[in-house]
Amino acid sequence: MNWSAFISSYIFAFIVLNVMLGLMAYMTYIERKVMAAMQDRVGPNRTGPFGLLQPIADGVKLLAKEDIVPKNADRLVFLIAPLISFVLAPLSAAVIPFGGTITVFGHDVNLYVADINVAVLYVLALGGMGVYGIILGGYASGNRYSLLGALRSAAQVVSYELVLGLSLVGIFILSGSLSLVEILNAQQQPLTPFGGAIQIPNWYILSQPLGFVLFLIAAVAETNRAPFDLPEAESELIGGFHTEYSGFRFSFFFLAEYINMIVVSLMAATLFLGGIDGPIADGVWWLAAKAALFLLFYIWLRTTLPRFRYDQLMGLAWKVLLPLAVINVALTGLIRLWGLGLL
Amino acid sequence: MSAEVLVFDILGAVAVLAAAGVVLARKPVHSALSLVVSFVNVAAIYVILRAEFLAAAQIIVYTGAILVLVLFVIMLVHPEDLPEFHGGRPIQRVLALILGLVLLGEVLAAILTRTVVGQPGPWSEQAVQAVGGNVQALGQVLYSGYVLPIQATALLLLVATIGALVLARPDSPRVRRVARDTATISLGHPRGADGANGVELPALPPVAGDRIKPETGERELVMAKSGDDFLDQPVWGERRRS
Amino acid sequence: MPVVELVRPEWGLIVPELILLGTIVVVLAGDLILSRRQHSVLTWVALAGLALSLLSNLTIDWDAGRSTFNGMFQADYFSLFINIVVGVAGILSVMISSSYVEGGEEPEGLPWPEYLALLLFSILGTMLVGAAGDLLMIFLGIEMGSLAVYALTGFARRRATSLEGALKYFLLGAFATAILIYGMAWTYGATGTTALDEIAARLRPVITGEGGIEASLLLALLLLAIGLGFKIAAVPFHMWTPDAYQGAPTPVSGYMSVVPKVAGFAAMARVLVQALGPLSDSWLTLIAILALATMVYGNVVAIAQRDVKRMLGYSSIGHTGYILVGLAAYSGMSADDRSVSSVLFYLFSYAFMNIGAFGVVTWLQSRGLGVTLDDFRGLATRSPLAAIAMTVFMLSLMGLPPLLGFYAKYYVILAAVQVGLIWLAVAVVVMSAVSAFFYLRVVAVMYFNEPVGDWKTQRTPLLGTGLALMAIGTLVFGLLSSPLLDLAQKWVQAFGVA
Repeated sequence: MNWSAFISSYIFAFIVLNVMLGLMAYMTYIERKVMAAMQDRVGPNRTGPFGLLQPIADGVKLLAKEDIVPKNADRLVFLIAPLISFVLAPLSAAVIPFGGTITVFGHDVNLYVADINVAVLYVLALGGMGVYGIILGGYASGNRYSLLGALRSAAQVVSYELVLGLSLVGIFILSGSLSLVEILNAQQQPLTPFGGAIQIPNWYILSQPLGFVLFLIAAVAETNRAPFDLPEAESELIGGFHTEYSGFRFSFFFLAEYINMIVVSLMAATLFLGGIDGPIADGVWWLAAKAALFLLFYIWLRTTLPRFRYDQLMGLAWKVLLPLAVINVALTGLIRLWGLGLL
Repeated sequence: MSAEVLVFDILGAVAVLAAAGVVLARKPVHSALSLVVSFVNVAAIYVILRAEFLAAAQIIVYTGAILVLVLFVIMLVHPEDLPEFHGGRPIQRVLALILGLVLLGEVLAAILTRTVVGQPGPWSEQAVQAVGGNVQALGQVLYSGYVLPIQATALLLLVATIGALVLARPDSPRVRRVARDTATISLGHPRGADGANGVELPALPPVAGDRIKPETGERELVMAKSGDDFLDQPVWGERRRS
Repeated sequence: MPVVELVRPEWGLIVPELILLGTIVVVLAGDLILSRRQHSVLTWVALAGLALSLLSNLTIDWDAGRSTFNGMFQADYFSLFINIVVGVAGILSVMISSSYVEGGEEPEGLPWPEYLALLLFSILGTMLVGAAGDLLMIFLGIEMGSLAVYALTGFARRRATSLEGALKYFLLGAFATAILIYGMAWTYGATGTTALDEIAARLRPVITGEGGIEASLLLALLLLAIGLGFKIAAVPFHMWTPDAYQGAPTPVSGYMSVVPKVAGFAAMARVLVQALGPLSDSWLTLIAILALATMVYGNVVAIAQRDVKRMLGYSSIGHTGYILVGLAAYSGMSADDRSVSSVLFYLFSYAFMNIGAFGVVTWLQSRGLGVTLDDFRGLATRSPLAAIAMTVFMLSLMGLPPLLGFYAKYYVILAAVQVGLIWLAVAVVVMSAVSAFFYLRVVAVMYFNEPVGDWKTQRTPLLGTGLALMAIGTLVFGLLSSPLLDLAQKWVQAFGVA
């Protein structure tokens, strides 16, 4: 076993995990500030300068609160459920390439934790597992609102995961790989149409616009964010699956949701926007900027769109998105088969 | 014993224990959960065997979709309405135990006396690496030698879908419309109950067993329960008052 | 680099299946486009598709016995015969179904396009089993057929009995599938391949070797026999049969007594004879015992039934027993081995008699009567033609010469005697005598009792034509049995003489 590679990827994983957690805390701050700006409010501004210490205060508050287990709850499952959500959420970040290979103190260090053959499927699999936190949490609460939230989540995830997976098949066809590193590499060869007169980046958003839109919609649904936040729908389900959760168990769900958002944004940036690729000085900052764009998009959606009704949600997935995704796959395959040189 | 074998032993043991949990758990949800654990361990074993694609597919398809649907169905059914899981006559239990042990013995005997082994297939580890990895190798095999089974599987799933649709189809276009306008998974507030969508729902009769005649359509409806019965449901998980 | 070359499939060999698939697509598209009133057009689409699919068998050179899709699909005389049987059974089933399903014999009526699509899918699956060259294809084909029939059984979902039958059929069928695929897994584990010919090739040296047969192969054999036994409703794996037959819409009962059975027997022939033929010493006794138990149980219990559909259900168990006798007479693929050919011929004749019998029940139901024995009272005075048809079917099921059923039994007995299974041959004769009791009772009730109940006049031309065709077929094919049998006998050529 190559120990230096092992240790370097371990250290890198440690860094990524902590950066993610820190980002997540300030993501809540940014979300509140941006939403406030959009709604013509001020937002948090009391704790520290510009309210910058607000996330820390929130964290302390949540950790200090009482951990309540309802009498009706299925105790063991109730206690485990938030952990499932929380533990699985940051794992996806392991396969996202934050750069190529650099040399630190004479060692080659890969700026990704792991380059596995089936990276994209790995992320999808973790997404599929993560929903168990929500379903089990809702079931185990012994509360009918929670149960309804869990039911909705189950149906929603099964439907949208399908769209999510299919929307990416076009990319697989074009890049010939399921590895995020290779997909990234494939995007770094600029296209030179018209005999090299101009150079355009080979970002898959250009060759897979439909796939991109589908991915974006399905990703919002997968992360249970507005307007697809039916499992928690506070106005009808009083918080849905996490109605009964308090204290740090609630914060686990909360953390998981934001980490999922960040991971999905990183994924979208890597898969469709060329990841670390930029006009000048390729590097992790480009990835961060692109991911930030997606995160802002998330917040924008939340402030603008009303929540879907349940049947609209299902209808959208099965009658609109899924057929479009299939068409996208078929079109991409045909174009690839007949070799239109552009792609 | 290499580390891989040790990890395999642990994963295998957990998978078997979880599988036992599926059978032994009292609550159906716990059974489903045990199955999840078992599936994840099996997926991990696939990873040890360098079948990453299979592992990912196992998790996405089985844990991510099929078991979620199983849980969905289990949660939709009130626990009181489920059949007695550990019921059955004593003789049945004894017989099941004996027959199970017999089958186990047969399988063990078959495994222990095994001498015929097929030749190793063409896909050695080097061969897999040569085509670019597990995914590529699987893709090549599936879309060359196994094209017909793949297409047949697609048809099979289509049949299953049509069959399920037929068995679960709404009654008729008229009823379908009502269902679309009213049915949401929400709590006791059927949309359109106030007739705002132009669909008049028949008023519920007060007593169970009453018959009502819808304004449109031929058949009389027999009310299984009065509306009050639905309001008087026990909390989830609570024993139903007799 | 062992990259599997993408061999261009020979599309010409699977033309019958492709035509059927095209028909299904047209039917499903028709469901979308046409209004409910125009759905009867689809009847003709389905009939035309089935007929074309049958005719397209003529375009294939069966003598070559070619296989395509990397050996997954075999176009040989065995698959030809299966194609003919299920094609004919399919046409007859569609003919007896249309008035029942469209005419609203069930509460709230049944959706005709979906019915047709599922029926055709089930036929397609059975054709795939017949042509399977690999355990995988056998599994997929059987499942395609079974899943469609589960849904068809529960088609009248407003009727509790229909749902009950479907549920029992589905649960036991799913269980049987698990056993079947477990057996296939063991076969694969023991031989390292799923290709049927390859399994046989690898087994032959093992058998002649000194080590004897090993436990894993026996286990595989047992599991395969149990799994397929469920599909053909052999005793003791028959529990679902009576309820499913009684509960299903009547034309479906007729259909499911034939085509899924064809699929099961085709799979048995392909698996046991073609792949596990070298192990025949191990499975022949098993099959013979199954055959005896099945025919005795089916025929004895049928005596007690008043419900004609249920009676026919038990009688179909009995017939499964007769057909199994044919399989038990396998002796190792000499050119005059009649085992599989007698099975094939029996299945062919069974399609005519049994779909016909259920067709007459459908005929009664469309005239407002029920399905019990009492509803057959005085049918001769009300509708002499239907009574004659029913008499023909009953006598043929009983095995009276010169009807088709007699020849079917005759060839089975001949095959059994040929290999010295005298006791089994005697059992077939005795059980035929027992079955005369309940078959003739129907005939007696029709001719010697006064009619009861209301009779409403109804025009069901397609059903009538179908019944006439089947009655004539039962009469005529008996006399023309030898060319058919010659065709069936070519299975030896298909499976390759050992």
